[in-house]
Amino acid sequence: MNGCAMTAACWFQPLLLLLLAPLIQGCARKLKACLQNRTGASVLQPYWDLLKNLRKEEVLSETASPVMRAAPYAAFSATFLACFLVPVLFTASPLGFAGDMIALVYLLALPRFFMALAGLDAGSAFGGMGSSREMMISSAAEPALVMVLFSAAVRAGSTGASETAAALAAGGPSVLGPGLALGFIALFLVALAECGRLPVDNPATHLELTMVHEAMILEHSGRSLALLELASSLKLTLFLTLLANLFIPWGMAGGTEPGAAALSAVAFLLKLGALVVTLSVVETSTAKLRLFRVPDFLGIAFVLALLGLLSEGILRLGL
Amino acid sequence: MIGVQGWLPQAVSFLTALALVSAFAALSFRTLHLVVRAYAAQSVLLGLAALAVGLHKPAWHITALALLTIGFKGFGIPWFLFKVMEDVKIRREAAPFIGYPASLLGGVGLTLVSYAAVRPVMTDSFAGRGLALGLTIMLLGLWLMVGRKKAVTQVVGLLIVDNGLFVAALSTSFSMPMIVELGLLFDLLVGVTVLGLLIFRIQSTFASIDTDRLTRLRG
Repeated sequence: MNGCAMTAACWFQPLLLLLLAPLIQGCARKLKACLQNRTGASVLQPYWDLLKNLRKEEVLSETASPVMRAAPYAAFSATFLACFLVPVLFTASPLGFAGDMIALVYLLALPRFFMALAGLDAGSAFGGMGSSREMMISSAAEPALVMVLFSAAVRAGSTGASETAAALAAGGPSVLGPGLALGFIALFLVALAECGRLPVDNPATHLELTMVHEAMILEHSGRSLALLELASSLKLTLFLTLLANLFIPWGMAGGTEPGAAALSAVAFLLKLGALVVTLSVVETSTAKLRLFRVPDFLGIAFVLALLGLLSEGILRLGL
Repeated sequence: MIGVQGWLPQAVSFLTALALVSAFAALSFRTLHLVVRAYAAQSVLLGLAALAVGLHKPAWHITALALLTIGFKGFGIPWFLFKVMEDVKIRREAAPFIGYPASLLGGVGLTLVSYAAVRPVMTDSFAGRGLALGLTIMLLGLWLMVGRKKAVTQVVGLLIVDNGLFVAALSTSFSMPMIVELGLLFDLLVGVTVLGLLIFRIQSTFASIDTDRLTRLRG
């Protein structure tokens, strides 16, 4: 294996995520539609929506400041940058040397900050409502997310996403333990909240009383809307990738040998597919929570992550 | 359990950890149906752990006991509790004594307490872990009993305490002797039936199954 091929393969990973993101979203929508006895749009529909929005004229509120104009770019680029920190097909990641999983958490917080600002900036009542709800949810989700990532990191003895994934992938069946199960469930619950899925937020609704994410981006149109939509589908893909690579770590390739890489790609797509199916089933079978129950929901995630951390790390309880 | 090798310790610790998760699930659910479901899931998981031990050893009485546990605690008792709830028409725990986030965090505290308590006697890591886990599940069951008002939830708490005993027995001494386990199962049957009748009585006397109303005098 030469360094050049490895580097090229690494840099290809975030692009793969970017290309896959609308497809993942389309698949989740289609599966949900099938489970609800609807026909549903094609799985490629999110791509067409993106192209349509990119070509459309952008309409801005009269009260909007430059923050509103800049927010979609900031949100998208921070989310895309976060993709450079996670291992996808190979255990190495292109910017893994520059930031660990703590940086990842904050890169995911940055888009939310800008989107909340933009929501307030447009001067519509819905935007402000969405922003305040999103902040409330994220303040409960972030500690749980940090705790989950730490529970994976203590096994590897490093907070780097690549090192952690490599250590877990090398462990084989021996990593299948209580910590893995607890962490998986916790991260899944956090992902539901962070990506605005049911039971925390309904991604398909524009009903004024219930929307959170959609309320924040309500005033955006044209290219801005396309970027924000892409950022949110990228975020979902990122979370599913984290779930797949940190908590179902088998099958990842350490190097870039064609055989291992092909196997890794197949394993990754299978894991992603399984996660999308799980997500759709969970979303179809649960009702949306009342907003003030959301901290309780994330409290469960936090407690599970804490137990995972305790069982794997600090106390070496090995539950 | 000295000298256990291969996949057994891993399988048992994985299944018992999931049993711990279901104890936490029972603490976090508001709907009584879900609390009972969490108990059922926990019983099935523990039955599977016992089945793994029975098949690995191999010992027919543990295998038989595992199957009995799955059938009886995983399906029989939950079915009975569902019937009781259907008849008393109570679905939710409205106002618990201890709120949900507090009871979850308290549960984590209890986990730490039981591990700290078992640590000095933890000679063999597998048995020690199992004992600590069993103690944790027992404490979580008690915690559920003191934190909630509805009689159904308190019954489930008692049943979770019994499951904790099962974990402790399974991991320290390859489960109790057959006669003791059968006696326990029978006791549980009688206990749950009596408690079910008691819930009916509380419901018919007080028009509610909140146990804090029992302190009122009623002629």
